[in-house]
Amino acid sequence: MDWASASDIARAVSDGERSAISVTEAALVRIGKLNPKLNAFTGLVADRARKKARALDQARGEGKPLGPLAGVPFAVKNLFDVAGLATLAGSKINRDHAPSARDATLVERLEAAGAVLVGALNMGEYAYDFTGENVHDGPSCNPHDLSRMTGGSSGGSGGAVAGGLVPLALGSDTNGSIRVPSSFCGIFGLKPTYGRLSRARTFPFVSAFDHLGPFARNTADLALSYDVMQGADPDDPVCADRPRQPVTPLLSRGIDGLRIAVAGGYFRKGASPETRQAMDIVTRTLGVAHEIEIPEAERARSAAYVIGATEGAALHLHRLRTRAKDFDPAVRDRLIAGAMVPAALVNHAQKFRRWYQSQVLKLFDGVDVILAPATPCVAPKLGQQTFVLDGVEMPLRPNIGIYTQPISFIGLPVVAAPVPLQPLPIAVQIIAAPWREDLALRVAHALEQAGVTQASRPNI
Amino acid sequence: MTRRPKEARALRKPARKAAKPVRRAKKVGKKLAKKKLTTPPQLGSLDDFIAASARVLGLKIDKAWLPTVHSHLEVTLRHGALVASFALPDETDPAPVFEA
Repeated sequence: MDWASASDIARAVSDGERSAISVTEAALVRIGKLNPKLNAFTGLVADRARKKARALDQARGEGKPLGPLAGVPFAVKNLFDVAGLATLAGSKINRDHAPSARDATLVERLEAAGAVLVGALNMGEYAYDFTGENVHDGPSCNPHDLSRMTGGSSGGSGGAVAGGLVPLALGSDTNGSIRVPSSFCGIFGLKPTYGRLSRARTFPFVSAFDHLGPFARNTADLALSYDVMQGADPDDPVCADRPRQPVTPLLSRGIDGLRIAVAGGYFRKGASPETRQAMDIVTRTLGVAHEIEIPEAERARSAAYVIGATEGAALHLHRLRTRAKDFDPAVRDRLIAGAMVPAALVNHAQKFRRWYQSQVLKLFDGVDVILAPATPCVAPKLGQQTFVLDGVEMPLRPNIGIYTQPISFIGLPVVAAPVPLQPLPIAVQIIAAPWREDLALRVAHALEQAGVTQASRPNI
Repeated sequence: MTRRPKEARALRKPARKAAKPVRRAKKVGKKLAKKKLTTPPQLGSLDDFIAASARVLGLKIDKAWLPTVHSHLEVTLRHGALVASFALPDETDPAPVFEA
């Protein structure tokens, strides 16, 4: 069962082929064996997981329904509150926090569906990161090549799912932190519409852009987990009061009738040969010939950069005053700089955001789905500081998200779908209009059925 | 709404050419003054700005951190200048609380 899907595990546990406790024990053994190589987990909740699994087995024995994720082990980026653990958010400073009294809403919803939480996952400090490296806990390592980055900031989530430690994980995406690890680790990730999934009881970064979402090794698991996490939540004022819109029943509808375009202009610049190859494979498979330009995408990325830098700095200003030396230096110096940006620039960026949103939404009058690259390159080496973008050597850390930032800037739903190139995978972004996660997932599912996007199993 | 501002085009000109009208900005009027936003920050003035900002914000910055802080601030201000050079109607509402 070490590469089994969440759907297969739930079916086996519900049918009595496997006990939930045996699945849980197997996951804990796998984590014990592989985590020293991958460094994906920063905390385990083994006793809690065993207790939950035994309760599921007992419920089954009593003929009670178990839920659509019965017995599925999962883990969460360590910015999610887990009762009994301090919420680290990748930092040293938060280790002083008291243990959380209650789980994050999304953890509660997954467990209500029968899933079994096994632990908390490594991440870049305070989510200000695209690499998956962490100066306090060590870097998350890419299962396809242990000397390479997982991508970040949800690096442990990417490594744990791609490495087969768990079939399902949760992460956050402010500027690309679900889509970048999905690309570098070769798995599926969903960044839903801004406001779709509750962020209650998670540590924030940039509230204006913060999204939470799942990672999985196939689209059915992505859809299943997304479906059980939907719904309004009074504990998160940003979470929309909308009815649940399950996508699992829609996955197999295919792409007939969908108008799909590929993003040109800005999204053609800076791409590595692997990025271009992945885009060519996907567009050819889907028969996409229509290219559109997302207006002012480069400026949108700049505006996202400014708002992210300043809002992140405002969040951490008191910690910068009192505990500056306890930060990861790479994060601290960016936050200090962000605190000094004039307010007029931030205000203009927020005005531009409104303008840009209105322009991009018009594009969806003519298309249903837009394809774009997820990352400009495959997973870089751990510790790598620069890379070549458009023939110019650039700092790596802030520039991995050039293709993801203009999309999350206005909260559009995106599926990151991995193309299993050799030796390293890379993903494409499948982007839809707000609240149309179903369309992005249908396209991702069709590509998966065609064998074009899939999570390839690494040889660890 | 969709017009492309002149300031945006100016960003693509070499820095030396852009610098001249900025120095004359007060004399030649408001339009050219906008170009000042697109001028890359000057090293010395930015160091002074960092020192003053740190005082105002109550931040103690170790000397060893200054080059990186400087570098990040310069990059962020460059992004800010690109955004600020895009003309928007005065009535445009900012979107700090955003609805998709």
